[in-house]
Amino acid sequence: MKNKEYYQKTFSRLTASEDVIQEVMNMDQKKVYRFTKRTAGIAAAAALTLTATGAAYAATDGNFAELLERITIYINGEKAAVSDYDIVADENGNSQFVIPIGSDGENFTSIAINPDAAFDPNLYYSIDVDTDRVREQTEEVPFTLEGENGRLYLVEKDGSRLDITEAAATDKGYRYAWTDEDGKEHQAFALGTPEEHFIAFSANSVEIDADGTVSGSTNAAMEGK
Amino acid sequence: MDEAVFTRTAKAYKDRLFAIAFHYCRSRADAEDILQTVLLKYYKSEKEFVTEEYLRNWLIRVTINESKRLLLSHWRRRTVPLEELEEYAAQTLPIPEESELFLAVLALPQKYRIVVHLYYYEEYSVREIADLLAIRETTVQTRLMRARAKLREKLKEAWNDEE
Repeated sequence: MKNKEYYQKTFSRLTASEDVIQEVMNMDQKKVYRFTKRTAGIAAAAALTLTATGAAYAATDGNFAELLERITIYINGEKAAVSDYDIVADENGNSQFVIPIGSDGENFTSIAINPDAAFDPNLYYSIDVDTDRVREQTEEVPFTLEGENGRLYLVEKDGSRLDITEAAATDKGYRYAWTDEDGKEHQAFALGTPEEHFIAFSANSVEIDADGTVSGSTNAAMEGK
Repeated sequence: MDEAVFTRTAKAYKDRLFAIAFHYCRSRADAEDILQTVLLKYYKSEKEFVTEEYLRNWLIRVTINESKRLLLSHWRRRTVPLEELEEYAAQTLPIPEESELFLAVLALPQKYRIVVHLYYYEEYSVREIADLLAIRETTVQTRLMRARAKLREKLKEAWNDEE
């Protein structure tokens, strides 16, 4: 049997549920986001986390919409459309939302907001993302990630390799901290598997205006392959 | 969009779009999520799909983008254990040779899997795959070559040296 025939015969057996078509037609046209069926792990670290004084704002199914209404995201000065958000919820009701920023074909950049952070339900938040800064930050990271023979390695600029397979597979990933030439401290997190991995940053600052509005200005992002 | 048109297109394409998504995420639930998103985008689209080829390419391109986006959404990416895939293969593919190919393909690195699928299943040319994935033709060729070598190594004589 030819490879193509063999391949097509095998993978033609992969079929999607018939229900999906009806589900799509039943969806509320006004709904701009949805919770997914999948179970995704939620990391406590590395996501863009706005911290503010006040009660913790648990992002459960019921109040996530309310939380979203209190957060405005600007990408390069332009307000991001709500439909650009991707909400991921796990089976325990924990959720986060992810905003894709851009891609160059294979590498993707996005920011993830982890509602485990303390969101005060009485305040409004705005987040400004400067994509050029995110790109710069990506280039400044003094290491790369390489998957090889089922292991994930962190490769530093001098070529030294560190096996981080186990640490990168955890919720928080592998934390790498360094100080730049100006003495500024940075940190990045390596997450994923030998096959699929990415680097996440968290470099946010939060300002509270005189009227009590909390603004998070950040270039937090993650970039992956 | 007219419901009859949507239903007809969705029925015609749902399995192949699902298969593409599955090659990215290796999870039935995730692949169905992606499929749902793609079909919803199509349902709400106001584009005029003048040819079947244009429609097919659009749907596949959106599926690829949504698959990549989903993988990024996993802040901590969930790794599908091999045992889970073996179980799925046992349920879906009763013929051992097919099960072996299924598992061998899904064991490939993600960037090889999608290229292999677009080439062997969707029968896209190297050039077309390069356009769909926004990568160079030489990169597609390299990935195909490496994927084939891995499949030959794993499947022995079941995978021919035809290319």
